Amino acid sequence: MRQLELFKATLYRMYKSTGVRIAVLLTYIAAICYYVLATMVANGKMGVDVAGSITGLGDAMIIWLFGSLIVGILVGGDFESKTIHGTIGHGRKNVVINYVMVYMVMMAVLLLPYLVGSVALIIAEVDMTGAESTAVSIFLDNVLKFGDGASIGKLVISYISYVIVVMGQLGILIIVAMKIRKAMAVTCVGFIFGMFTALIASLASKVEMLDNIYKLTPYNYGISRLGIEANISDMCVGIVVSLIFMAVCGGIGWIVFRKADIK
Amino acid sequence: MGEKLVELKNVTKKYKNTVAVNEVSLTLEKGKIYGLVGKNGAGKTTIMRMIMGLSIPTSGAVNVSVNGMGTLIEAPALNEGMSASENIRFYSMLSKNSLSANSQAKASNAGKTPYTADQLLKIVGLENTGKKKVKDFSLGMRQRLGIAIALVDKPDFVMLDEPINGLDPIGVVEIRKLIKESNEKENITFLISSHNLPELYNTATEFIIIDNGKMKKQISAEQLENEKNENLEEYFLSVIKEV
Repeated sequence: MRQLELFKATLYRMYKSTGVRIAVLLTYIAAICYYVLATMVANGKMGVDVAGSITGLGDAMIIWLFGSLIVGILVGGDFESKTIHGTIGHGRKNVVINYVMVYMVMMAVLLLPYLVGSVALIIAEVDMTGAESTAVSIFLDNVLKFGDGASIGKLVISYISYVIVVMGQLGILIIVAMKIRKAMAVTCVGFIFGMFTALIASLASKVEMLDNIYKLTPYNYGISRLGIEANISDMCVGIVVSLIFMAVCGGIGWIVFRKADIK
Repeated sequence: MGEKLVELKNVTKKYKNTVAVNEVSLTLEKGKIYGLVGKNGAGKTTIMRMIMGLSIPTSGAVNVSVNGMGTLIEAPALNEGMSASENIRFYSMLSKNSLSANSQAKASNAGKTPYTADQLLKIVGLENTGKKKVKDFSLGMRQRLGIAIALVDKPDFVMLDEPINGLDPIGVVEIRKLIKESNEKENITFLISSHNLPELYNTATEFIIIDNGKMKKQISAEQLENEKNENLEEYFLSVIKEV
């Protein structure tokens, strides 16, 4: 019960936060613009040469920017405003579990417009051929590859696995936030880390041990493993790996926090 | 001896090479108003932070056994983007059976009816703030709201760290009255810190005097009345100078 009270109170704090409202609003605007512009590319109303700019509005980039901001407000904001003084009475372990739970909800809220846009385009049977270069994640890729014989169940699993993998990828920010406890610093670290995630794979591939570790993280799961044409087993493994990764991040966050002094 | 709410046993807190609290042992009993008095840097806030669970003792034990704890440590912990009533709502959501991180769970909160947000705001004189956001509050208003939040859910035990900082003289009188009334009517136990003994003289029923992290004296209001000479400040100085 105490965990639920903490969860509801934190959701209320996030709901009332101006920073969170701006982040969610801008994400929703970016998602609308992304799909509108991608459709215009598919229709030939815009040239493929602008695809690079359009991908900047895709979830792959936006989630790292505004997801980092949300984690910063969720954890760093709690310390900066000292509202942690009100939550610490619920126990430090419960505080960290609560951060992870609210984080997952907030990531789902941020990804929702991209998911809705993707489903809407599939239902409306919009032909997105020609807009392949704007597909930065499974959301648009599934629209492009969802054919007549495709399974709805597989599509649902594809979406679920992708959302959980993204949560896993940003889960590392929980540790960063528990350590530095400053909203703006977490946002900066998260956004920079997000830009380098693509490099992590190539760097890891050069060292066998790092490559083996990398394969056990959510960063190893992209369109080829989670899209509609991937194996369901890959999607399920992606879900399990990401959930374990988030639990590990929460665990490390707790280790960082459990004996730390709170100002 | 009354019911023990808080017990510190040989508690020491070190920050790198500084000893903030040195082998302090004390017991806080239900129904009293404790004044924690010491100079700036004496260790008052560190003791409160350890009771609250914000800080972990380097050695010794802190045992807390309360049904709810309200706190105002250093600055009020407020959501800047919320109004006063929204802040109270946030803390009301949190405070149901909220205990200190050090505490052991007890039976549910003895049938006390929590204050409503309107009642609390009226008690601390913020009933006319409406939708005004906390970020636009003055220092005194923030302090009043911090005290209101500490009283959400009528906890067993309330810790206030220099609560009258930033308050005007009328506010000081009102807060003193609120503390006494909450103690008498709701049986709320208070631990109030101050660097000024006279400031707590008319409010506290027990005084704990600390200096340089060490506890120098614990004395009841009656004993203080008998032991003090004309000047309370001189008495305080004489206590902290005792070896």
